[in-house]
Amino acid sequence: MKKLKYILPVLFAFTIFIACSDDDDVDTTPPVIEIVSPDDHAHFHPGETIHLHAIITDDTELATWKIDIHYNSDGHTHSQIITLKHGDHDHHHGEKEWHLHKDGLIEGNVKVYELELDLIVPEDAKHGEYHLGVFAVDKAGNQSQVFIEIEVEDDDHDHHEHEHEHEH
Amino acid sequence: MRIIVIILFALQTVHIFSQDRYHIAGLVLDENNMPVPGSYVQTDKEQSVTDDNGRFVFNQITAGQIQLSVSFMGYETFDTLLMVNEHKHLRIRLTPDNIHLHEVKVRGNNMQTAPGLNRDIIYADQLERQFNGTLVRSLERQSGFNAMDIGAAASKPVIRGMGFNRVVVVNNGLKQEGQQWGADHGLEIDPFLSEQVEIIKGAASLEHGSDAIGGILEISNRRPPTEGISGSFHLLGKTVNETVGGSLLLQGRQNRLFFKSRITLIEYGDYRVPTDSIVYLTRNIPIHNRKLKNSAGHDYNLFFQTGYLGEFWRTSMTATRVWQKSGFFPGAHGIPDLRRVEDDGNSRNIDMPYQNVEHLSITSNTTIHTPHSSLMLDLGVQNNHRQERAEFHTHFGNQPPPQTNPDLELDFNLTTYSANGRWNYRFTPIHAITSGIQTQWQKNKTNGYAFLLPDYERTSAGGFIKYEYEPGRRWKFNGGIRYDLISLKTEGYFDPILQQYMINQGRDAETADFYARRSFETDRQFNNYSWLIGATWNATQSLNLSMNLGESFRAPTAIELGANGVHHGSFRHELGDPLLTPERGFFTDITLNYKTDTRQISVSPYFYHFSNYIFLRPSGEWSHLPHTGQIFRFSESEAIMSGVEFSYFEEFHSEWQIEINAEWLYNQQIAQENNAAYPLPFSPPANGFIELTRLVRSATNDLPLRISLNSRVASSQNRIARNEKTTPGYILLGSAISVPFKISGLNSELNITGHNLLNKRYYNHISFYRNLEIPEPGRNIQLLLKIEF
Repeated sequence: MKKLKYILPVLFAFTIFIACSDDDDVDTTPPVIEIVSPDDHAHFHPGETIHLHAIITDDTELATWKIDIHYNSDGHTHSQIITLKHGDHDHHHGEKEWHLHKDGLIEGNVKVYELELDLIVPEDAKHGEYHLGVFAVDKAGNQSQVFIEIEVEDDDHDHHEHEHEHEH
Repeated sequence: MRIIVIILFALQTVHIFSQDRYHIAGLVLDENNMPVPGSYVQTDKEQSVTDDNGRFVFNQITAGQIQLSVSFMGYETFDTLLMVNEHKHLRIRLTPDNIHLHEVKVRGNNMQTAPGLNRDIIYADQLERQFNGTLVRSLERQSGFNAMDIGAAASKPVIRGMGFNRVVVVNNGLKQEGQQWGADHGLEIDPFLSEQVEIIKGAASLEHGSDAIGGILEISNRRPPTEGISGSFHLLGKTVNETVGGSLLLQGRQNRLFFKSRITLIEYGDYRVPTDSIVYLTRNIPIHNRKLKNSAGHDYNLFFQTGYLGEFWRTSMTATRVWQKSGFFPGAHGIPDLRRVEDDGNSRNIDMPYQNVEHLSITSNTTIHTPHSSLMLDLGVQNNHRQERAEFHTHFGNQPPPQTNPDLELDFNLTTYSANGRWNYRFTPIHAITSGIQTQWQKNKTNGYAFLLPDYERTSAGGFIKYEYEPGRRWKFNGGIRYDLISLKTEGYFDPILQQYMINQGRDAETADFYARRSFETDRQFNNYSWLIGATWNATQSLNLSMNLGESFRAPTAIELGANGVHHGSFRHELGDPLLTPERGFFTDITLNYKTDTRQISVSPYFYHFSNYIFLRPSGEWSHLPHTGQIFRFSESEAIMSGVEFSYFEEFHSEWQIEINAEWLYNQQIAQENNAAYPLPFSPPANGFIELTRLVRSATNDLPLRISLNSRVASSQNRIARNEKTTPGYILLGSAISVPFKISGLNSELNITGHNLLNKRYYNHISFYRNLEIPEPGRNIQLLLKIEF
């Protein structure tokens, strides 16, 4: 047991040594994105302009942004629901799924960035639900993204409010 | 190499000089012809302890009569009188006495007969009491060991904060493949099958080569049954996901021939989470009825073994087959969508998306024991087949659905042939040498409308030599080196649909080609060595200190070299680097062990240095693939890793037991530029487990009734890699009651266990579901009934 006297301090010193490594001075906080407009579930007609306004903030320094709009066709199990919802319409008059990708750099040491873009819904955009995503990355590579849903609908469709299945 | 030559020469001389006297070499076996390590051997003048292979050697015996005795707890002492007039080679078979072997086995942990790495051995009966769904989860209480869970029914092992390809799972002597695929599927092992599980912590590349940087989970079920027909039946029920399961073991032995067979069927429904909604990518996703939709599944297992026990040898053939099918929660598969999580009114159906995993393995194990040598030959073939099915969907408008199997998203089919040989030779009581070779050949074929992993072919061959030196009872030394040759050929894959899509999107030809090259063709050769030296010092009968020092490596995988595309599980664009070099880690650890009959304390600090730890680094460049954010590149970085493991066990007055295990770990990249000293991803927080057990012994039963209360504690994890989420700490409460009883003379045991009794909502930092903000399962009451016959 006498030997313990020697062993324990050695173990202890070893532990202290490894515990006392420098504390991290690293950035792991991702940017915060707020989509001011359009509203979630907003409706648009082909040819209309979507005014996108997003406020991106980061605790250190922003680097880049990206937006991505795509047709919600890959929703696995719910593709049928969409078909049913529009079952009484015929949507096959040369429409194309609208896909949009834009990105840009945020130059200078910027912590708050206002992203404002006017996006025109193509005349031949396929009707239905789209995902609109805003992505941002800070200088360190921390990424965040926010998605909203928008709907592209027929010209003869009035702008009346749909009953949505879910409240937010 | 020169060292070994010298050692061999030294051993040779010992041999020459002992010619004028005689030696006695012995092999101690139990009633099943299995070697008995750690038995006490005594002559009139000397005493010794049998080594790992149950052998002992006495040199320098002068001619004449000598008294020899061998004793081991649980067995009758063997006594004999020997006439020594030549070299003697003995085979000694011990007979069990009628005290319960059981009791001895239960806490036979840390047998440390040879110097070596930090290891914990857990036997079947202990595993049963700790049973928690999967084998890996059942072991989670061990310090330095964590479970990377995917819901309630699948998990992977993590040792010292390292998982996937940094931990090797060895099943009956052969490396189990397939568990390193993605974080979203678990280990393909029947949770009831293991008779003995050994957790080896520390870089153990010496015997298994590449990948064993973090440690090894070694599973074996090669114990021959007792004479005649016997078996057991398990019945399992769990409330958290309404599991119903059963396992039947039927085994028999007639003299030297034996067989064992097991069938296990487990079915489970969607698991309960203590929350009404989760927040995924800033969207609030409801969890209807507090059940995680489509997390149901089943797990069917078959096992058959037959073997023969010879005088000096034993051989067995084992075949196992595993079928696992489990659903994925659709609400967090890609972009959040509320309609997918609507209650379908059935909590037991497995809907798309789901995965189907099949595993088949056939192994042959042969061991030959002689008083000097022990020879092992393990041969095996295994096939891992994993399929993910989801209704056809594409991110590229121009991709047509496949003609056949339209729902098959991913299909991996990996076939592995392995052959391992090992030879251990004991010259004298103080010198032993082990050498071995391992070879493996693998082929992976892929299929499905999505692409993730390329087809590849991998061959590996390695050889090692290890030397053990034990100058006295106090000190033991060991050292070894290993050399490996690994060749990996991955096939390139060019996706013309994606190329067209990119061009349609207005990208230039070069960009389109870059994205369409989903996998680079590579042909790499990795030659690497590893080494390990260790020493154990037995300070007193109950106190020992061991230290290890070594270097280990891991060859890059096909994904790390050749990936280019969205990993749909993590929803990231991952880009491989065909020029990666094998990851090398230097490690050292110290283990202090204190052990008496009723108390066991172990403290083990460790330290690793990686010259090039391979991980996914965010690049800050946007991917042009739809729905994705930035590209994550497989990159190398210098890194350090360290921690301390602590475990304590004590029994008071044969009535109370207390067990405390704790672990703390720290890791960090070494910054080369722009202050990137980030922690490594998937690091478990400091965590601990404490259990208090009351034992009630009765005259009618051999085994005591056990009532336990336990708690699992984890601190918050705030040291995160980029794009990980900090995870709050938690305290969970659990309990267990184990009642042994007899049903018409049959030994039976009822185990009722409670997990997360307070139904706490918590996250496992290293879980696949953590990043998707899905909490761990809620309160679970589990019932496990065992009847032995």
